[in-house]
Amino acid sequence: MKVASRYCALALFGLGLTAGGAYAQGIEVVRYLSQETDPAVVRIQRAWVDGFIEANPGTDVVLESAPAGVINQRIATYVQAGAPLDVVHSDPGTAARLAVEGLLAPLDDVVEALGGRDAFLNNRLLIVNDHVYAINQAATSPQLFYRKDLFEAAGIAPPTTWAEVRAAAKALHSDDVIGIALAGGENRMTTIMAGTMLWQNCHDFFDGDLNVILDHSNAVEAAAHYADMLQFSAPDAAAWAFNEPPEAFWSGRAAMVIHWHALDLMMRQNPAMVENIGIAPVTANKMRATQTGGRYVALFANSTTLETGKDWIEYIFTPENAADLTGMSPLLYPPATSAAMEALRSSDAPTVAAYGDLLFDTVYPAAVDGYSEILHAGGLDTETCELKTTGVVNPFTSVVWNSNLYARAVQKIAYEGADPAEAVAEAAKLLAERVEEARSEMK
Amino acid sequence: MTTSYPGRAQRKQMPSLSASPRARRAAAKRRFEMLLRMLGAVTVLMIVLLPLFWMLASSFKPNIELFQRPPSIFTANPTFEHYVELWEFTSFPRYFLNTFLVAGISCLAGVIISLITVYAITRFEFIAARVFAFGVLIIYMLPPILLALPFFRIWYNLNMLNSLWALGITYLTITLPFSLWILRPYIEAIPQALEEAAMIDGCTRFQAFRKVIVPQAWPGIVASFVFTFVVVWNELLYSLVLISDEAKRTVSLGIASLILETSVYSWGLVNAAGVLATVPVLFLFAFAARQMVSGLGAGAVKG
Amino acid sequence: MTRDRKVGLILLVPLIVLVLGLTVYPIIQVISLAFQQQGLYSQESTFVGLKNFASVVNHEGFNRSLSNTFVFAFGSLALQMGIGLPIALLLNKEFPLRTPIRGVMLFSYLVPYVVAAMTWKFMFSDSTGIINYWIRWSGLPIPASPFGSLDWAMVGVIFVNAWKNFPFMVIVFLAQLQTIDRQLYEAASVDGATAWQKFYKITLPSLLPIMLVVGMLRTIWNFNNFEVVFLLTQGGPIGRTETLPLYIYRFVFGDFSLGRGAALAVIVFFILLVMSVIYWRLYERTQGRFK
Repeated sequence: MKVASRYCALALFGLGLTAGGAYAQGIEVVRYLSQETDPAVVRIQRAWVDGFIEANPGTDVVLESAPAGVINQRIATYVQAGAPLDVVHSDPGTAARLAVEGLLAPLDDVVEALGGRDAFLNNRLLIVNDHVYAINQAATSPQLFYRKDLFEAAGIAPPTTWAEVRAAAKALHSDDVIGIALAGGENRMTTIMAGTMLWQNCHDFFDGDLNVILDHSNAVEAAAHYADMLQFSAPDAAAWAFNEPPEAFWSGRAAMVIHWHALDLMMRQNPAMVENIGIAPVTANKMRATQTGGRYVALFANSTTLETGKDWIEYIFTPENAADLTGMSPLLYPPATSAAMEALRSSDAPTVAAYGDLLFDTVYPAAVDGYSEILHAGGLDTETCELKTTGVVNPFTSVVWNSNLYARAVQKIAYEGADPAEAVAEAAKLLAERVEEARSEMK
Repeated sequence: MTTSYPGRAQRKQMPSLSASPRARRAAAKRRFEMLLRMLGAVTVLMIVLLPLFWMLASSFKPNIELFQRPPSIFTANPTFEHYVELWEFTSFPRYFLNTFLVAGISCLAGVIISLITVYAITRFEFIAARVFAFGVLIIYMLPPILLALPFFRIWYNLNMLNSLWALGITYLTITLPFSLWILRPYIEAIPQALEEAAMIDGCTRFQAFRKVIVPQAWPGIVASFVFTFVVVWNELLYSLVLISDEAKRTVSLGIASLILETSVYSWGLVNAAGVLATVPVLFLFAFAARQMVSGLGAGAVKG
Repeated sequence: MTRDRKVGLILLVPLIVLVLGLTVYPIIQVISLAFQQQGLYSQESTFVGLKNFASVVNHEGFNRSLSNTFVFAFGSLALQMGIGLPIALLLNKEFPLRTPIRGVMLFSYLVPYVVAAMTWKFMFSDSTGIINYWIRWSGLPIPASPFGSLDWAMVGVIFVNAWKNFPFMVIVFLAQLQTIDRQLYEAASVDGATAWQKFYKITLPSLLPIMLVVGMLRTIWNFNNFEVVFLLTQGGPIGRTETLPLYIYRFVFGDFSLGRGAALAVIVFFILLVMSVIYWRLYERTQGRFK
């Protein structure tokens, strides 16, 4: 055993040396920093890397990923130290803030090479001072999915208004089935869903001058409504984040879910139920506003491999490559260009085969017509509930999504019986403080 | 037991006859106690093994059975699809090599440095053993979350973020106190006369160290290596903060990436990964169970 | 001898370098960060005195996470000892297959935190969990999904932490139990002592010093434990399981406020320092009694 241990140690040491020495020299390395950890998506990214290196000898792409908080902290540390970063795949709020802070490189040539701004679908380019600084790759647009069999058995029509959603959730909620799978944890998922309710209720976090306007009766109503719906979610919804709602749906436990990941997960996890799900576009109470959020691809201005970085971004947005990604995860990655949309339509992607027209008629248009709070601050008219394009980039939305204050208000109402008006007023106050802090940091 | 001497037989039988019900009762009681002990042991095993068993069983279930209600204990259609998926979709084999490398660096370095440090302290008596032990305790109690942030900056400044070597060196903050603690009683127990004799025989100090101390302390060396290896194998926070390169993840981080907030997971995949991550530690344990247990006991008791 | 002392000094160099580089320097850095404030994307940082400390202590979550940490640390300790002691007593007795059972019992100590947390989460999950299903089926008055329950989440994380770490207690107690002189028990039996009396008069007193030592050590570990809570509940629901390490993590990786995170880390550091000194006192006193 003594000998064995010694050999073991030697082997480990040797392994270490080889790993250390394997660092190649003289190659242009682009780091691609993302929050993507879904193995299926990572696999596609790896295929891109192989293709890219083959097409561009002398280059390499390093895929880096970590949870959102760790990635954003990492970006901040690099920036604070004045160190170069390359391509990042960041959340919309961070992209907007980085662009406004002047830290990103313009991507106008990339956009030109991909066919110009007109080749892109609505709301996919982050434009500041008439330069494109980031391209939306993942335009999440939540949809309401429902189980056809359960609805038919109960004789309920697919809901079209929030009142009907609630009524259906209540009617279908039982010991075995939860009415609607909604997350109630203090996390970004709940914030996104509560934000969706807020927009649906004709209100917004910011006005067109980037002031926090959350302390409003419509915001209170939306939070109370969400909290109210949580009683028809799972008993442990207070701990739910991104994964649990779609999981409850594909596992057959939930009658409805609002999510952007439900289709591909259903296909991957429980193909038998694919036929059994319908989409009721969210929704038609007062207006149709869903979040066009997702993630933006951007390039840091201080990158030491600017040109290769741009080539990489161009490469991942070529119609075929973009269609590969969308084919894997249709709602999370709606195509960014019309060309990619066409490539997807004619591809043999499993989701296209499974859902076909549903994707092209319902899912993707919602992403195109959705509300983008970062590109059009104040674009949700709180009087008429109409969407309009303002072109005012909002660099402060990440404060909303990182602090989860609105989600906290919903939790307090739902689980601690707090007064909705007080809970939302407190969230609004804290949010305004944080935004002011961020504003003062931005000189 | 028949005998030709009835009187003697009777005499012999008398006490045994009168004691027989008591003896039988005692035997029954002993058997009952044994049964109780066995029952207790089985309960303990159930609590310990249920999650592991369920993980193993689930890793072979097709997706559709993972969330079936009522849950089936054993699947009728065992499948390797999750393991195949793990192999094809993720870099798990890489994660294993990475973790072996990191654990190798930190555990080996930890053991070697502890060995010479403890040797120096017990043989040369620079500082009081008390001060030394207290110092070790202080390092031991530092919360990783406290150090994670400065480590992030230090490695960043040295341009070694995403480096497995940096992670291995960082893990020394965990492995060093453990191996110092575990090794100290072993080396203290080696009589100084033993090396002095070796040195009188013409050995240099180094030779004496190699030929006397190392073999004598070998069980402790194995114990601290195995124990710190398990600790490093299981560590998550530092790797979460320091490693973002997808190809440089450790096993724990690889699994965590499959279940963290923003990621989408498949339970089959996660269960398969969990099984694979558990195998090496169990294997190592089977290899050096006794040393590890005694090392743990010694480390905890003797401080 | 002087040459010898030089050798000894040289032998200490690696440790000293490592302790300076891996402990002293990072701590100094944390302390200096705690007095500074830096914009998220700006390169200059300003000295702000005790502002970070004030804002951390006045934050609504501070008292909650402080008390959560103590509940978690001592609750885990109580449960670990509560499980560990009877099991150690059991495994100290003779019965068939004792040795393999002792080994297998260690498994939960060996599995990675990620695996332990993941499996328990899986088993208690509302959609997929087998224990969740059993509890709901049996109608027992315990929550089927504790990690999402405001009242039971802390119990859940303490349970998983205890499951993971109780074998450590068993090993330590077993080691101590084996040092107890058998003749004491025999003498007690002759005097007609009951099993309970034997435990109370002989076993417990000899275990007490080690219980104190290990208890304090474990408390510090539990105090520092990040993984269990992070993986099971991320501090939720509504902060019910947010312990100080999670709270630091939230400041640094949620609010991106290094200064506040560092200030909190410094506070935690001093709490632990006090606990370590108490531990040290206890330890030395019990050592004296040992010998």
